[in-house]
Amino acid sequence: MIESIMLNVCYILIVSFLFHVLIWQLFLPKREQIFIVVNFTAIYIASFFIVDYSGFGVWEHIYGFLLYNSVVFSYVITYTAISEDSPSLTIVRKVFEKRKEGCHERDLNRVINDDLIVKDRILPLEKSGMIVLSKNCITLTSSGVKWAKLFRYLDKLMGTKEGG
Amino acid sequence: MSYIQNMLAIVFVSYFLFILAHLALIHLFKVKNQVVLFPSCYVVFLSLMLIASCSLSGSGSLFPVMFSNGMMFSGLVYGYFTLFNLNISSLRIRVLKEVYAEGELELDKLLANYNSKTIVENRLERLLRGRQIIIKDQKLYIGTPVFLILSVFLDVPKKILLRKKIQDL
Repeated sequence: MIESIMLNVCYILIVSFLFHVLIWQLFLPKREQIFIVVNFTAIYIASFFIVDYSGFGVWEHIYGFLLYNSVVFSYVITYTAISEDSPSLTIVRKVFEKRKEGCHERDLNRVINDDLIVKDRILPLEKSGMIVLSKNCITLTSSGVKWAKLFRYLDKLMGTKEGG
Repeated sequence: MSYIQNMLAIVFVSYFLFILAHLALIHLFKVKNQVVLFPSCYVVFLSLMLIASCSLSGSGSLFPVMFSNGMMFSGLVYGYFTLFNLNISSLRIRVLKEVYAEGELELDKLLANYNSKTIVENRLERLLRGRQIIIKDQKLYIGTPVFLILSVFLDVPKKILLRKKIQDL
């Protein structure tokens, strides 16, 4: 039974990914990650009208759903690294580019500038309704407070320190 | 319990044991670079999960069981790893936490404390600790090329989906 669940999930994933590529060629959605989830979910639901699921019980459907979503979830996370340039990867790239003569730390400071912090990191927080940026001052919204509390709790649980 | 229920139970029990073991190791040994523990914990628990799956799979083919359970377990671990890594490296989360601690924060003050130089220093320190970058004669070189391979690997979907120019390597 797992064989047929696995094959079904693989087929649906391939079709969903092809649709995703096709849509991205036509236009780039504003909220890309949400659109990916919608696309993959829509194709999964559509599969119920196309694929023959006779012989599948409740648990087979639950297994298929969890398998499918673990892959989709991983892809959505990876997509963030595709759409936004990570500072760590940018640094590694720069060091590799200068592999013959060796890279100085000052070369890296030219690659990452303060605009990146404001445009790529702070403005999206305002756009997603977590902070309010007014007269050069940042305050948290109620949603921002909830997230901040959650991450402070995770800091304690995971023994992690400040980010950046 | 049916066969599928057993498989789901194995995956989720292994996942929760993985998280518990990882957190326990961090707190017991006060490990500074917590991310380093991930690969070893992942390999151990993935192996245990696959052994348990195979032993309960009966006479059926082992590949689909190993592949499906392995994928599900890896997807869950990846989610946990991302959440963990986000807490360590995300500037957005740091901004949220700092504003929460201060009540309100001036943008200029934030940029004074946390500018491009600080980002480079923090990231470089992490990359040096993970030996992704090494120092020779006060110059930086690539050490273990995991991040470099990841960067090249991400170029393919960047090119296909976003039509971004692939940087020459």
